[in-house]
Amino acid sequence: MDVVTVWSGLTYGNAFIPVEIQVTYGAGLPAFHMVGMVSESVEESKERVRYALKSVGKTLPQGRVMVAFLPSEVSKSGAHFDLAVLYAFLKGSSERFIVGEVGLDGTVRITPQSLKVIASAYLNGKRSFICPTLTSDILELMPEADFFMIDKVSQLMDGETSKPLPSPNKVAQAKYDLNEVKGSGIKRVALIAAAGWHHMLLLGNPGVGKTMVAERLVGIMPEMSQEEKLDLLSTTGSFPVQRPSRFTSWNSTPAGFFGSAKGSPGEATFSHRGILIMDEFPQYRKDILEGLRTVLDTGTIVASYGNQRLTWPADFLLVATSNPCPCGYLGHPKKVCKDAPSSVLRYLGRLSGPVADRIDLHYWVKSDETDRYVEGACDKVKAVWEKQYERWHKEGIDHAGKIPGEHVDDLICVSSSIKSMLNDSVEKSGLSRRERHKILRLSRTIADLDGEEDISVAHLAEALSYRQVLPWLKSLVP
Amino acid sequence: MGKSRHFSEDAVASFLSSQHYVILDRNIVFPGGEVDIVAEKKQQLVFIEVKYRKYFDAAEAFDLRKFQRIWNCAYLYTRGERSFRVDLFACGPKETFWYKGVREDGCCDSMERVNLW
Repeated sequence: MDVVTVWSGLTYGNAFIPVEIQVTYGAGLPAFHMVGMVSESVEESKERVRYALKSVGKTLPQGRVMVAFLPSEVSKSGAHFDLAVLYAFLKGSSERFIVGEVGLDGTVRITPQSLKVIASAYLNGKRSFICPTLTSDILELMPEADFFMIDKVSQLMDGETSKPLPSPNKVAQAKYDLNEVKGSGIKRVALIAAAGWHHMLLLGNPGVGKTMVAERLVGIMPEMSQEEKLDLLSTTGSFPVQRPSRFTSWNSTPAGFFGSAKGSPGEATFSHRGILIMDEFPQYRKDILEGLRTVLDTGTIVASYGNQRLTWPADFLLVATSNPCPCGYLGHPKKVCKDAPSSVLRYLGRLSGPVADRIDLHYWVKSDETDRYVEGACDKVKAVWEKQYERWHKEGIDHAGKIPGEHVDDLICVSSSIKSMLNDSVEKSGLSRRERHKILRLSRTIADLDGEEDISVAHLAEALSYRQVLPWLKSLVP
Repeated sequence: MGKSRHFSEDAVASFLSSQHYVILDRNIVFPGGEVDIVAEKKQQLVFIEVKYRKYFDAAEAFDLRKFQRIWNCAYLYTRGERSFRVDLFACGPKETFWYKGVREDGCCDSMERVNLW
């Protein structure tokens, strides 16, 4: 009895596992077996394949059909194996990489899982695909690959490939305009955060426009590069029409936030290379806040479940917003905070500590700021991105906010006078080593944003001011 | 289906005769179950189940429970003194499959397409 072999694959975290599908059949009562830790969605492909074959006038081979998915110790899920199994019955063995879901009527469909698998197969060196019809902007991401795209199973027999679908209309990048926000200080902070990839914590009384800024931040960032898009496609399975900007809710669960053991990514991964907004930051569950620590440092999520180890990219720009106290009116010019001092301190305690320490920019949003129109915000950010990439790409760093702590002193050059000033203020206010690095990174971005090569006293002072909000708030508590 | 059942059993019986099988019994009933045809060829005893389905594959109607009933019946019939084989005729309106030597796990020795009508 011959064994027919076709290839497909699956993703687990950001790892790609090629799957060999072997099909054989023998004499016996009609039966269709699948082995290799297949989940229900794969098991159901039996019926889809059976009727899809019928739609082109073929039937399953008479007798006992056995389909094995190898490696067999990895659990398989998803409907994207349908087309590969069907191909084995229709055409026999193939070296090409086959992905797609089939319907009972013989139509071939694309699923998010299939897109994910195609993109990560491409990243792992696969170049020849048989798959459902893709849109032209997805094809642009994978220029070296050869795609045989089909809409219907019958096209496998004709050898007729479909034309790529037209790409959906692009959503305007700047859906929101930064200038809708009032206040020159907050606009400046948004520019710095976007320009240097600095995480941001916005504090303020209710209704001063914290969330409004957070939502508009994505509008001033440059468009995603092809590599970033492919990266995101291969881990989430959704094509990023624009840079992601995810608004998360404080009642998220850790699995929904960081990804689950079954291999589905969470919000942190969906906002990879984009913006993750955490509104009402201290309200989040403690395990999410604590879990953020390593993610903010490394830009990846590593999780071990049983004997499986998962890695997801999660290189997002965190924008956290919060009130200063439970009632929200601490530091308000007119209203009085009615909370007990102990509850305010507890609230602020959730903000400070290791997580807030890892957030570069702290800013107190005021409602009575003077306003100035910012022109060409996106171009300014882009210029800084290019400058910083030019400066550090040999070290594998593209933004000031992502320079690892051990390299900050080597990579950011400051004059000796500035350095002594910095050391003085660090000593005076008892800042940690990490905070010192944050100040250096921030002042580098501020200098770049002002178009200057050397960090001046003004830049350093501005950077220092972004670390003084929490101590100031604590001093307000009676 | 009553008409089809007798019709197909008769067709199978006459087909087997043409293949030099001797039909020993038809529709034997034992407490454990029932067998459609008992035939013999060259000292080999064969217990035959005939299934007819108009729209679906008749062989899919044959399961482990049915196999065990036939086996029990065959055992009682032979009193455990002779070896035997279980065959299945899966008849459809167009074509018929003959599964020879069906075993408990659903495998069989050989299968062939036969023309009953």
